[in-house]
Amino acid sequence: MSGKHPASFQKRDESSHPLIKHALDEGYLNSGNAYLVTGFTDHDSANQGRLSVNRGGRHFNIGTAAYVVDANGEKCWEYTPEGIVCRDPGGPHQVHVRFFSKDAARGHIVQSTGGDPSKLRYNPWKRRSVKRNDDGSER
Amino acid sequence: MAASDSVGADFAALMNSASTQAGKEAKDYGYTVDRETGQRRPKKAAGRPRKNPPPQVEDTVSSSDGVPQEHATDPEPGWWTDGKIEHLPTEVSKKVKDEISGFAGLIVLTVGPVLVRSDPYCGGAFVDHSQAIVDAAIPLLCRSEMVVKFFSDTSARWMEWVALAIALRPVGEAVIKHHITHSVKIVEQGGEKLLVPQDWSEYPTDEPVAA
Repeated sequence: MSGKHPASFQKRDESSHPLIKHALDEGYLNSGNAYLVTGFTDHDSANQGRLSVNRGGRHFNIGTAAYVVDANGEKCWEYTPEGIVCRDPGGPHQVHVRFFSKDAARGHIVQSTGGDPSKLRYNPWKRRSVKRNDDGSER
Repeated sequence: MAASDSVGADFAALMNSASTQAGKEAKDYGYTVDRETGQRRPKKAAGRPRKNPPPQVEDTVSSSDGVPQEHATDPEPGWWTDGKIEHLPTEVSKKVKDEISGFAGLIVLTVGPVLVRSDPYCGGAFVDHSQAIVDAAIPLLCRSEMVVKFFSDTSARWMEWVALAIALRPVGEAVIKHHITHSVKIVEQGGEKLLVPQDWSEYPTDEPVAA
């Protein structure tokens, strides 16, 4: 055991930094417009690009909303009864990215929920269920 | 709204190559069963090495398919010798030998009288020593694949061949009388063909012919 966290052995992924820099230079930050990246040969490559953009966004301290679409513009992350299914895994794909600053992201959250965390689409502080003592009373 | 060609294309190409490389490495690590989906998928990492590694395979293992060289090809079947199918049994049973002996005895009984009639001296010697001749001929006949197969597979039918030989015996006698010994002659008389026995007693061959 080296004493390090296992994640520390993961090499820092900076492959998307040039792309993010270019997008920020072009004024995509907080614009609401999607930055379109094309040229992915299949779904897996595009998904790896999406993950790389998300990692790079954390490095730049900005929020990224990236998603994968196929050649017809159909989103590949939509839930279906069979799970998340890509209709054309072997076909060309694209990645759409929107960039937001942290302040803009917080403002968007406050505006959409009115400051009520229970209205969040995902509330990280919500407990799964009420824990009870051995006698059945709530803790 | 699209990225510039150079930046987006470089990033996409990088992701494409990384995905391809990741797929190759995953295949090199082997396969495992995903805990969440229950599906079989390539391993993402090599994982911890086994505590008890499998025993090393001997040097006779071929690198192509992992099969030892000595078992790479199936051995030849026992009945296959030098590319030729060997049907001859190694040892002829006593039953087959008796069949052959009986067949030879019937041949002697069928042909012997004809030979004695045509040549009493030689034919008589043949008939007198027929039993010894048959006993000596059986081992030689058993060497023949065709003979052994005939008496092994069709032992119930060789009597039919003997019956045919008995039926052909008068024909053989007639051919010998007419064309070999010339003891009979066909004479045409009045439009009819008559069989006339020939008497050669006045033409002995053991006396010198008078000049």
